[in-house]
Amino acid sequence: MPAFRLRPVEFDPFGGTVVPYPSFQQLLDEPAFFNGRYYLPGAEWTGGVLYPTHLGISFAERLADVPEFVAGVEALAGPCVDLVSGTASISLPGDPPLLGDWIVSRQFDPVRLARTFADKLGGIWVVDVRLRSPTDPQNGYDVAIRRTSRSVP
Amino acid sequence: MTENWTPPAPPYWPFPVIPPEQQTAEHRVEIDFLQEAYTAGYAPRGNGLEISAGDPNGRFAELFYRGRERGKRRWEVLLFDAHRRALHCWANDFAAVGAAALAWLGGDAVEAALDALEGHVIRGPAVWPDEVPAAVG
Repeated sequence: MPAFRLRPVEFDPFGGTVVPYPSFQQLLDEPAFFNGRYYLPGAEWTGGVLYPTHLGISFAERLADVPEFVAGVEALAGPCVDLVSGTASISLPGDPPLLGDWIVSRQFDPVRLARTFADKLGGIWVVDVRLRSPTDPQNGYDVAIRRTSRSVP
Repeated sequence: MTENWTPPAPPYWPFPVIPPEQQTAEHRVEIDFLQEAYTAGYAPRGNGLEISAGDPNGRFAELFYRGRERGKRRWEVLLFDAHRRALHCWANDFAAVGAAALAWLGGDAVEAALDALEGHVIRGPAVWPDEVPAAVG
């Protein structure tokens, strides 16, 4: 369990002890529980921090689950999530590929991921990708998935 | 894809955490790391998904939470100095991860960090050798 299970006083939908901290709303934990409730049974990658402005998540191997995870966060936590961000790593030699590898090899399809977000959560989504270190691509990428509109034209 | 978004930086330690009576052993080992790094002057920061700390000479440690595998929490470990990435691996014990980071930040060789991680590395390690400048003259 992470050390930062923090929630502000005004945001405590499920009860329990509250520790105010201005930059966080909530930490979601893995693998199958969210504040003591079942969530995405079987998923072992999930983890995130719900800030006032966005949801930070831990990208690992199961990118396809991210939209469902965000939808679950919205359903359980209440507020709409319009921005999801995380660090996409490059895998070590011989290890399973990660999001950073798919970005490097151009196998990652941001349009498809954005469409999946739209299908699952509504609105229009775009995917932003940026090198973490301009001088060292092996340091991975900052990835942000943003809802640019709540309505679909 | 666009590139117009800046991720927020995690806050610096110290910041409030859950009360001691609610902390698990894993909470405590992470908090102990943050406090130890803070006391040593490494300006640690974190948000539960990533923890980082650095020394004034350019040594730097980045620790990324990567979910669970077979029930054990996974951390991606990246150690840098001012010139290079020195170590990259994943490990499944934060006490070992924190010890490796502190050893590196304290000036030890990368082998000392690997010693601290012994028995807990689940991916890697990849190690980059220290580049010895060519002799001049």
